Amino acid sequence: MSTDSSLPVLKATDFASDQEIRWCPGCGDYSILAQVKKVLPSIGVPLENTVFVSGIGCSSRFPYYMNTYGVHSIHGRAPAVATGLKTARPELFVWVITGDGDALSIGGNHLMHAIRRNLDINIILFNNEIYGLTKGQYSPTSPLGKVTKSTPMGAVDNPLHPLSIAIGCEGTFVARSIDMHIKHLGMVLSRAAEHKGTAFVEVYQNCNVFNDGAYTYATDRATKSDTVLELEHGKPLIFGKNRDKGIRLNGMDPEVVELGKGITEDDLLFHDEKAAEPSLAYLLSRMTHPEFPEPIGVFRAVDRPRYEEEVDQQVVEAKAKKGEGDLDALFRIGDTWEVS
Amino acid sequence: MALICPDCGVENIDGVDTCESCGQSLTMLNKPQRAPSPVGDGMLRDQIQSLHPKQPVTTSPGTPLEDALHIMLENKIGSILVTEDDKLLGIFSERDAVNRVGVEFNALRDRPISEFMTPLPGTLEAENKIIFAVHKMAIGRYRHIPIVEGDRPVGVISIRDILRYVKEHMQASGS
Repeated sequence: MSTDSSLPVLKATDFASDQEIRWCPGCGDYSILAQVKKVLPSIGVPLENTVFVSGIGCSSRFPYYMNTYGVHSIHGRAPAVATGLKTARPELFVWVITGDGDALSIGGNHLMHAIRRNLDINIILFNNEIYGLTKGQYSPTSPLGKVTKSTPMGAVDNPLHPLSIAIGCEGTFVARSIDMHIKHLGMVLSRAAEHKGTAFVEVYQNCNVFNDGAYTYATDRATKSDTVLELEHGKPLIFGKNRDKGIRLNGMDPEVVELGKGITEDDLLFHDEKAAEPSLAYLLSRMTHPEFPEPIGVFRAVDRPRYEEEVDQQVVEAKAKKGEGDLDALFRIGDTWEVS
Repeated sequence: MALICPDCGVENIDGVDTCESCGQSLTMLNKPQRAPSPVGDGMLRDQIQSLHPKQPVTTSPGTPLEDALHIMLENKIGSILVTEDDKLLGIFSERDAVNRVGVEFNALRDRPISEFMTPLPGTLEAENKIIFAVHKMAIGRYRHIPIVEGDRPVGVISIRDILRYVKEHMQASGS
């Protein structure tokens, strides 16, 4: 992103709109909103060049609460709208705000292609493992056996892991954070904003009305050291209150081990977010509570050409070969007639 | 003195300009204000432990139906928890008595309570919000929820506790 020294220095409050926030008090969305507002001033993009695109759901009320341009689009289609926007206006700083229902139910296809194309956009998926806006139906990330209004006998669907999907779609930046870990969330959002390409961030977000406590294991002070593993590039996977546990590979499978008793840090798996092959990142995305600590942080951050740049380059080359083109003439190719 | 953010409900230090949680202005006088809802806002904010869940009355799975009913009547409770080795196995309520036993009481009085209980009922923890308890009762169409720590029941709340909460908050707001 380029910065112009003649522009005013923005503060987090400059990004707050005058709209009444309709999220329930205590919703995890507030924390994400606050961290996005804190991160944006440091990126240095003017308000008028920033756009938030959302679909449908509680998460998707986000654009109303930002003093930027915004598009509250249709269910699951935010990535498609963002793709068009970024391709036509590559100078814009485009964010997609979506949820586990919007992105992985109806929006699954659009999400897949946006990530695959590697547009320079930032996708934040608010994962509360429920359909909140429609009052408590299960979602594609709800756990097996979850009893909800639409699954009175418990969900029988295997849940999706959003990061596994993103990595499978060739995501170049894939990360996870938690609504209550505000410093960590700010760091992850900052890195996502700086990444050149599609940045996909899953945020564990608590819905205190329809799915309260879904992530207590990861936010409770008493348990989080043992249930969450913070990833750092180049560092071994260590966790635990006393940092005495780690993850090593046993063949192709991760296993939790205790340090000491013959096991040192050198025996552990070391995180490499820049690995060309996504296998390590995918393996980390499969680690779930309670069998494993759940990794948070940047799983993958690699470079690849961006879709909008490639398309732009093709337009330049096409014009060089065949001239500017005439859209009016194109419409009139072949038979046309007037209907009176 | 604390300043409660009208948007997210988080306490801020009195005198700050913006909420530390959601970043919204705390000084804009012409901002649209959410209509206060003491009962609704309270349920979103307060945890189940503020309802003071009652000590659970428990019995073992082999307890005869007649004895279980006797315990419930003696204690004037609408449900009894069925446990084994301090682990919750099920719940037997007044509705179970009517729906699953009904007029066949004489023939079934010696049968173990485990045959009539609802196994592995929905549970909550004391830190969950009251609104979530209301939601669970609405989905499951039940009126009692065991409160647990891990597998161990430590309390029970009923729909009556919710109604008492509603009444207290309506009275407090003068509505």
